[in-house]
Amino acid sequence: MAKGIFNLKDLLYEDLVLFDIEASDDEKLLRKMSEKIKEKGFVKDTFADAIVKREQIFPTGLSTEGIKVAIPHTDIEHVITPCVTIARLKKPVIFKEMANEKNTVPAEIVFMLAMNAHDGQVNVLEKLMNIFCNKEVLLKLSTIDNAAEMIQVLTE
Amino acid sequence: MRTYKIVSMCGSGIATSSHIATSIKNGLENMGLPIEVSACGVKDIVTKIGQFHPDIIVHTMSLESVDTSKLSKIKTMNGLPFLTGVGKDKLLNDMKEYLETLR
Repeated sequence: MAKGIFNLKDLLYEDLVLFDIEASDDEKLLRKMSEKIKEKGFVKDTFADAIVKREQIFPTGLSTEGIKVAIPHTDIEHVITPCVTIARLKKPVIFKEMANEKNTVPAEIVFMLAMNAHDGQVNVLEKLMNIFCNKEVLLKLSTIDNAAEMIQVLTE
Repeated sequence: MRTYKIVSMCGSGIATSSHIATSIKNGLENMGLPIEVSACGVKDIVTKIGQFHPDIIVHTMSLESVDTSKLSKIKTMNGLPFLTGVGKDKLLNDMKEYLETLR
């Protein structure tokens, strides 16, 4: 387990909560989000290609209630410091659905997971995953317009 | 009643399979079934089957990318409802019904 990752809060950063993001497809969005965390030193140069490639093989769109989301992630060796980057999109971006790749999901919020341990961070992710089953929280997340409040809703 | 075994499998074994393993264990134990769960990434599934002998494989990636002949005819179920909440109770019921047909 990486040091210091005990709560969902430890994976969330106000400057990694992005609003009004625009992208014409999922690959461009993932590259844009990857660039952001690469600049800040969270991930290696290889992260962007790896997450794009993995999304093609194992898509991560989720047809959640309220609003649709996607949870792109990739292998741990591309990550330096674990984090979750959140992009609220200006217009939905089409992702293929996880486990049913013939379906598509117009995602409105994308949670990009950058993890660097197989099991240790799972308990932390657990809390995030539970939010995807919660229509009210998802709808709330779609209306908030500042990063601090977004993190508060996710971690309360 | 014996303990039933379920493997949850995702692309990498990092994020979704562990979450789903926990949901399955909690869900089925609440329904009175003794359950042991284990999570793995798709590349480790053959080893996992050999060691763990699961009754069901719950997956969150498409099985199209998997050589299903290597899954030893084990029952597979799509675990997406555990991530979205949509259809979760039905899936737990389906799992329970299936497990109860096993000896």
